[in-house]
Amino acid sequence: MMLARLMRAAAIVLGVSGAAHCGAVRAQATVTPPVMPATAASAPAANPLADLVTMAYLPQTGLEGPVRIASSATLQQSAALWIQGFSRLHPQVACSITPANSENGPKLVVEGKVDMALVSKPVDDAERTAWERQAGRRIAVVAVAFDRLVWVVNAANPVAELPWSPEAGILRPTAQSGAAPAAATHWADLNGNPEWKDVPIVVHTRRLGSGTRWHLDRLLSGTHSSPLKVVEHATETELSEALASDRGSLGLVGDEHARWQGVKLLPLLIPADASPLKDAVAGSARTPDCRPLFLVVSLPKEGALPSQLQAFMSYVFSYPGQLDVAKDGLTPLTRGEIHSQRELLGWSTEK
Amino acid sequence: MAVRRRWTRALAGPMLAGVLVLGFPGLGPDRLAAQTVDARVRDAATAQAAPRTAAYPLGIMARNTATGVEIAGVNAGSAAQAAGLEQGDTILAVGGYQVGLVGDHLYDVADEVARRVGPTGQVPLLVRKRSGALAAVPLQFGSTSRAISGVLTADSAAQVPSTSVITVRLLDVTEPQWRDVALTQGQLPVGRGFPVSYRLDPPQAAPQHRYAIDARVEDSGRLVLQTAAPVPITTSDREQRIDLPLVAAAAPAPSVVASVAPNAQIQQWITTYLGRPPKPYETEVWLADLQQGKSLGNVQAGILSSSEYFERCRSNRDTYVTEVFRQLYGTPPSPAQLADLQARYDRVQGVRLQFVEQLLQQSR
Repeated sequence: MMLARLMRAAAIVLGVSGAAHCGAVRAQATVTPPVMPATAASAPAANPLADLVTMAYLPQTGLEGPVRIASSATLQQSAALWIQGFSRLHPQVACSITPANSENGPKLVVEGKVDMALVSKPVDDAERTAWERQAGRRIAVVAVAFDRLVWVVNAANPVAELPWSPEAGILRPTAQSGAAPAAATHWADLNGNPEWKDVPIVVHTRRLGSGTRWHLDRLLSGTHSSPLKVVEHATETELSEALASDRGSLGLVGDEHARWQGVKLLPLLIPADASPLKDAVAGSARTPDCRPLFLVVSLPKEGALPSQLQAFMSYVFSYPGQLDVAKDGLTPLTRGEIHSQRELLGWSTEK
Repeated sequence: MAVRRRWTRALAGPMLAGVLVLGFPGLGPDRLAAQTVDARVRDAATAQAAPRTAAYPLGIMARNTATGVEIAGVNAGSAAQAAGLEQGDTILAVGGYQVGLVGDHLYDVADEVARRVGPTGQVPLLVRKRSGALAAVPLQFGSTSRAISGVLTADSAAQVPSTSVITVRLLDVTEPQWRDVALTQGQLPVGRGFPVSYRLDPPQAAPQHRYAIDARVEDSGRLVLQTAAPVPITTSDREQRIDLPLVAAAAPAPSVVASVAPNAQIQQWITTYLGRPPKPYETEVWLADLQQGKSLGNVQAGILSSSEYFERCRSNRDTYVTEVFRQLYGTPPSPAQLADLQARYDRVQGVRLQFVEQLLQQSR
């Protein structure tokens, strides 16, 4: 909701000013010239955890019982670290992780085979309502971390920025032919330079899980299917080399890789009239290059969650829990975002 | 972007005549900030301290909304109860400043109270009562304090670099395995040396929990001084004075990392395993983990099981287990060892942290 307001206020420049971490408040209210990666990188990064140091986890005594988690690959390490920290305090609680992708994890929750699922793509209301009907319980979906991905291109490419809209992604051609624009397939469509009319846009990425793929498609072609060739690379090194050697490359990479040799970072421009993002996180104004990662949990229709599950989720939303998120290169929530997620769960906060 | 509204005092002003003296309610994690009283360290500490919310607990269960802070419950004996706040009321503003979710920011009611409270302990609230009526409610905090304060001393022979940082922690030691459960902690620089005054404003004690206080002095991640053992404290509604003598930190037990400071060791692991220098704050994140009571072994396992290291191994099980083995033992595994590693990896369903921790335990 807040993001929508921001978008309507004016065009927003994304993806350059907060190169070191997910830019919750990086959106600017006016279109500004793109900032070169070197300039962006020279600014000291704010510590995303400084906001959270007072969010202690206060353990209860006597907790026991199971905490069964299904986790997508993106959040597997965070889940393992949460279990490690939580189990030190509550050795009688039996925690377990079952690998599951973002499609299967919630199904395991609905079937009662796990208590919660960690997924890397959002859940729409229709999907959640269907699960609730099937499970006979309330299903809550809350954000637990963010993953920041940025677009880079071959350094020789004259394109300066990537206009993005929720409907067309970044593939809307700049050329005004009078006819309804088809999705861009060659670089001349995007950079306006006729010398690049025969250079196809080729997307290079890391190996994609289902959630990451969803995010890539959303950024690339909005609500449409992308006509572009996508090449997945097994290692960061191979990806870096491919981006630097392929003149027509377009890469979606972690923001820490924006300074690779032979590539340049591109800002993402959002038009003033863009509609709100489907996966906007409650209480957050993160920009669309920050991919939210979610926890899906089934809640009893009445009464409270079993105490060990509530305690585990409190740990996830505490300073040590968010420290674990940062340890695997993900971006922790802010305190305000945590408050909002707690409210989605029906929890209140003591003041 | 939404603009935070500055509520006029015209409504609140005339209704602030009453002065209430209130009790001490429970505290939430938002208000676990510590503060120092020593004037010598106050300025330096201010830069990193959170607002002094612990000193001004409202005693409510609160939900932040775009239209204010809804009160979901009021603690008995709290400042909020004495001011007549009730479940269902909504706090719109504190000292004239809007609270709750405003645009893309959260204006925390407890932080705002700490910021706006006057020298007499009073702060005006603008409240929409559950009946729908607007009311100006004066909130008054009493003078009673449950602060723990004292003096940190050290042997005059102790060599403590002036850049060192002191951390004082209030620990929950109810369960034997809760070795580093800090309810609140405060940090201050050593500066010109000892003695140094400290003060902690603790949250309300949970029933039947036991507490202790400890302190440690670290220089660039290296433990220099510490209390010999956490000092048990009695829970009390009064101020307490506890002086904390610091002694030289014991040398770490012999291990592969015994002679290296933790931060240097962590940087070395990141450089070696991930093939790049540490990112901004990356080392700090792992050092904070040590402060939470985890070991260097946990840190090593965390880096070796990270998504980034797994990707460097082509996200491939066999490459990964081979490389982890090579990092820990210096040689590649034999075919029999590789088969064992694969079986171990599969047994933990590919949860890399568990796999590496088991290997590390075996290698010690």
